[in-house]
Formats: sequence, C-alpha cells, structure tokens
Amino acid sequence: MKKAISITVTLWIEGEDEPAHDFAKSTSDAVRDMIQTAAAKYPGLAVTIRSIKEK
Amino acid sequence: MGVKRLFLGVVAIAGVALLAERWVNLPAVTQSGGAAEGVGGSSEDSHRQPPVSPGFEGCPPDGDGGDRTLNRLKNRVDSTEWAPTPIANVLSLTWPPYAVRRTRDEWSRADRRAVARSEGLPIAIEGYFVGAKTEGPEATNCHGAESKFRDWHLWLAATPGKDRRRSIVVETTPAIRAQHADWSINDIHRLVRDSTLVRVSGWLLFDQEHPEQLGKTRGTLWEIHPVMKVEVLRDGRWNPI
Repeated sequence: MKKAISITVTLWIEGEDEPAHDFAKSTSDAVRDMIQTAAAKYPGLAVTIRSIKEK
Repeated sequence: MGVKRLFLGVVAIAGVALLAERWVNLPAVTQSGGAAEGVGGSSEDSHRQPPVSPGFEGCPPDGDGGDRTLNRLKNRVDSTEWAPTPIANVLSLTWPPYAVRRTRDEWSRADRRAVARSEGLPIAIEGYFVGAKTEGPEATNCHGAESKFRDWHLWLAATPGKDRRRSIVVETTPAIRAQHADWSINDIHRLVRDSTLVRVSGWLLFDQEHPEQLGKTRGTLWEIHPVMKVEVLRDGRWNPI
C-alpha cells in the first residue's frame, strides 16, 4: 500500500557568520541541500520539501 | 559578532501519491480593519520623532533579514517624554488585516497610514508583569547567539497573575539594555512573582508577525518595543528599577 506522512523537524543551527549576512537564508538553503542529498540514499521514499522556515 | 543560531522548522513529506491536507494553519485575525485611532488621540506623524537606530555591536539597525523596516524600528535607541496611556487604550487599537504576516514593503499606502496613526507614539503604561523570558536568536538582532543579543519578551497586563490573554507584549532590546547594566531578567521575574505595579515606557510599535499568539499569550499585536524605562512605585513615587 502507498503511505505518506507529514513530518515537522526542529533544528538548532549554529555557525560563524558576518553580522549583516542573511543567516536564515543561508541556513535554509543548507538544510534543503542536506535533505535532498540524503534523500537519494532512500530510493523507496519520495521526499518533497514543502516548507523550510525560521521558527 | 561570533556565533549565530537559528531554529528552523522543516516540513517534509515521504511517500508517493497522497497529499497532505493542511500545510499552513494561519489563524483568522478577527480584529476589524480600517484606521486605528491614535492612542493618545493625536493625528498621524505631525509630531512624530524620527527613530534613531545606530545598530549594536556590529549588527546593523535593520538586522540580518526579515522585515528590515520593522527591525529598524525595534532597534531604535532615541528617547523622549513618555505619555501616560491606559493599557485599555492600547488593547483597543485595531490594525489593517492585510498588514498581518506581511512585510512592510508589501503593505498598501492605506495600511501604512493606518498603522502610522499610532506607531511611534512615546507611551507609558501602568500594569503588572505577568511573564518574562529571554527570546531566541532572531533576524532583528542578526541571530546573535549570546544572551546580550537577545530580546527580553515581557508580558504586561492590567491585573497581576499568569493570564496573558489580555496582555501587551513589551520588549527590551540589546542596545537599550546595554544602557541599563543593572537590569536583570531575574529582577523582572521577581516583579512577576510579587505582583508589583510597574510603569513601562517606550515606543508603541505594531508587530505584524505573531497573530497566532492573539488571545493566547497576547491581547494585541501592538507592543511597546523597545522598552526604554521600567519603574516601580516606591514611597508614592515612580523610581527606575
């Protein structure tokens, strides 16, 4: 049978950055990349990122 | 500035064919639209003081993202005379519904005008702190990880206790706290615990970003932000904490 699930994950991310640099955008882009890269390891699951936003 | 921190919520769907039914749960904003009445009965902008926002320890006044105009207002440091204002007047202020959860560069001219009627008024409100916490890292403060870069989120209500449903959010900011080395969050907690009558002065600000808290942990989207002065009544006189 086909199954589906919606999962909410809360991440806490730390890093060095320039004060005025948009940290929310750069970390969101990084998280998107992490998920897409890791999803390739699970070909039986179709993972779609619906939203990534700052809490 | 050093380390930045961020909470990110990630929503992903695994599976193939089924679509999730709800992705966004935006609560309905029930406040009526139209022009807000100036809290002090004043007309818009006629005597409004332009905000001075120099930035704080390398963080520019408009932060590192989000609503840059709002950030600049939150990071103002200028002072003035504070007009005594009943808490009920702030709670009764309305706002244009379209402005909620939208950045200010998306607002219509009419919405800007409606908000500007009250925003930026220098007010002083008497009440009781009913809660206090240190905020997480946020764009306004360049996501600074150290506590000195965090706002204090305080709740002010007409009556003491723990009920925040009819409270007003009042926030201290890093730049203002740097001018008040003697302020401590523990002292605020003590004022909460002891149900001490306080007078909070600062700039009236419309924060359009948290409608989901309405009726739960705040009674209005209008805030005092930044808080410029906190006083307690001692021997019949108001004294700074």
